[in-house]
Amino acid sequence: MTFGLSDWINILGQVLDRLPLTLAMLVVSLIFAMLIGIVIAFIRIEKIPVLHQLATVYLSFTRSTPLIVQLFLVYFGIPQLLLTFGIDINHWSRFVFVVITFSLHTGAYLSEVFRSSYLSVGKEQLEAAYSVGMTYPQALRRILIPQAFRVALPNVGNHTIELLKDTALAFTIGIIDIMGQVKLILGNNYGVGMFQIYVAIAVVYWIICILIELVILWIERSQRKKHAGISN
Amino acid sequence: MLTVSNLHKYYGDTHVLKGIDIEVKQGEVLSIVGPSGSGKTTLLRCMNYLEKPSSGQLSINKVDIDAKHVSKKQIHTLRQQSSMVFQQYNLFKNKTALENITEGLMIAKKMPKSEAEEVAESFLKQVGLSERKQAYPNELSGGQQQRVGIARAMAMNPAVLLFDEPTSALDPEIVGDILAIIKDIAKQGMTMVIVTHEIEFARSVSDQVVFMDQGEVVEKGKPADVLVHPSHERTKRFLKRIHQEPDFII
Repeated sequence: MTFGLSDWINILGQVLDRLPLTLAMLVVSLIFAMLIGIVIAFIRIEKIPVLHQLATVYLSFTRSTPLIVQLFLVYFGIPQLLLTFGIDINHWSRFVFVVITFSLHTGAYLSEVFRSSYLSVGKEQLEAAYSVGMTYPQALRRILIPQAFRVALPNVGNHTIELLKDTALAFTIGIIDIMGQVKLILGNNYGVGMFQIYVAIAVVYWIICILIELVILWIERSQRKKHAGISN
Repeated sequence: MLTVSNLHKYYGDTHVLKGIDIEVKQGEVLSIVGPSGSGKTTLLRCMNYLEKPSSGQLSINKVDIDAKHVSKKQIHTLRQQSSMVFQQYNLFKNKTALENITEGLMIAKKMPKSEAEEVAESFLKQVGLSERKQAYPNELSGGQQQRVGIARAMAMNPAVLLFDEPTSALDPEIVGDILAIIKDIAKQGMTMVIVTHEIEFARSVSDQVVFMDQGEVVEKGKPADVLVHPSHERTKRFLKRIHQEPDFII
């Protein structure tokens, strides 16, 4: 079988049909991951008793187990666990389980990014804010977070790209995202055109990653202009 | 205006401030001198609660605090009575020279932006930096940064200005400029507490000098008494050592 232009367009069209789902997983998981990251970073910076120890266990577990294992644990494990308490969540959409897994996974990494960025802003900046009569929340909002944000940005970008690629695991629990669609096409074609199809999906992921990188780069540039050389 | 009574500070088992008593009247300039590690910077930082005293009483501009029983709100109110000029300038790195000054005015004092900018510009003018108002701290030299630091502290119109070794991090040829600015402010009748190594400056600018050593006030009084005719052995030794210091350090 020879692959003409129309075949490429046809495959790409079918793959891109599922792109909204992939992007939805990315965006929703990223939002929750950031919230989790902020909360965990706060707990660890403030060393809140009990929660601090729990957060350390959570980080260690998340960073030391494969994502696919975490996905199966959440998708198969949590419903079973809850069922023993009489709570049935088996009817929940698979999308929910995927978002829970990805949020917890990326949230763990982002919490470390946020924590180290916050700590990289010197204590003297907070003291300066106090010395002109600001409260801690005011200092946080006006001085500390804007400076930490700039430090965190490149790493947040990296983890966003990681997360995008991780969404390709969602098909293992039956979600038809762009990767799931590829598997379906291959199944329907009895594996014909496998190489071309994988090339097509690789290019799709690649292009989305480039777009994310461009967005991050654009934000970084605009920040650099604003805070000309903050690093001294 | 400012009273410190029986102030103690411990770092773990180390007793760094051993019952300090100080009083500064309205419009007075108090200089604190003493060898490194004598606790003078810690004392200054206790005055606006950047360090938490272990015990003792503090009063600035009728805001009274007992270190043993103090609320966050009290600390905040106390801090608003003073502003600090730091050794390392501590300018907000993400703000321009102008914004460094307007920030406190707009956020802490809730001043409208246009008014805050007007105030900031007048203080920048006073320290001779009007033309650099849009520069970020890293685009300014040490001396320029410290001028912004001084303008920022003054713009808050505090009851007391606190200076923590304001010239220690500066190049020698800049020191004189900054000291001249501080002298000018003193002449305007500002109440100030200055921690400094510049003995000659302390002598000429102060109404009162405190000599500290090992966490204690060893001697206090008129600059001519403490710095020229000290009565205590430790003060004499310190001044002798200062005067013996070579002009250059290799």
